[in-house]
Amino acid sequence: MIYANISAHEQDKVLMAEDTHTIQPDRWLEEHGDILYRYAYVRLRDHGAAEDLVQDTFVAAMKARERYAGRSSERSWLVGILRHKIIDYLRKASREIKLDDMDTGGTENSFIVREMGFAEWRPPKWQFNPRKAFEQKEFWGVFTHCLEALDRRLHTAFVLKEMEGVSTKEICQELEVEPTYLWVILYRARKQLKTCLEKNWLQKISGKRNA
Amino acid sequence: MLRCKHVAEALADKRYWELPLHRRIGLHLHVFLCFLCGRYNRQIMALQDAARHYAAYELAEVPPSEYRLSPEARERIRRKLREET
Repeated sequence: MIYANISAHEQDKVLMAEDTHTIQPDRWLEEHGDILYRYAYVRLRDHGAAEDLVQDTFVAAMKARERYAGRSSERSWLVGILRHKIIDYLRKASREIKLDDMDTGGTENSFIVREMGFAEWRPPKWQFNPRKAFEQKEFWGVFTHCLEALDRRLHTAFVLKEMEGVSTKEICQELEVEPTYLWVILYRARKQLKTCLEKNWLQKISGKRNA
Repeated sequence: MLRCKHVAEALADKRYWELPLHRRIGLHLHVFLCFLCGRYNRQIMALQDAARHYAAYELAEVPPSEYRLSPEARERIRRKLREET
């Protein structure tokens, strides 16, 4: 656009108007909608809830957009809002899950898990190099799938602790469990995740080699 | 003899800080010397690493079609946002 024949002051006004124009919710939806949706869905595993939280995020962002200082990217700002909503949602949802949903075998059954009658007395080795796998895009598809397959309580604990970085103390309060028991839940979550990653990722790699 | 299981339990226990200092040092010495605990620690660290890498990946890459907003949801959100403006 050419602003040659208007004053600097007016130029600023026009630029500002353009600026507010570009923060249109339609553009947000277009640019960040799917990313926010997946972020929410992976953590909640509920399509309806994920859609609702994405909508709530945009509504909250519209109300607060004067406060958006532009220090972080628009996307991280939006994800920041969504994160709070997700943690809130998981808090409320976890109160509804009773402890009895899962066998509460305690540490005895978790560290020495009996599989096929043999006591497993040591943590099994990785069957692949995880850090190398991170570099491959396909690995994250498998990772998403394995996260989705975790038992509900394990999933909630893993998401809060490892993905959202909520402190152990807070998680224990929210899930109403003892730290020792949270440790058991996390141990199981990691083990399930690891087993699933190994199975599916190795399959994927070997399938590729054969093809 | 200290077993890995007991060490792991003791380290995760909230009464850990009530233990006398030499017992606490003993626990950490075990983790330091024990290759199984070391393996377990590395696995946890690798998974934490994975979780962090995953976050970067999911904010940068366009999700595959099964992880996108449905057209209905998209329309619903669009309408809602128009009402709000």
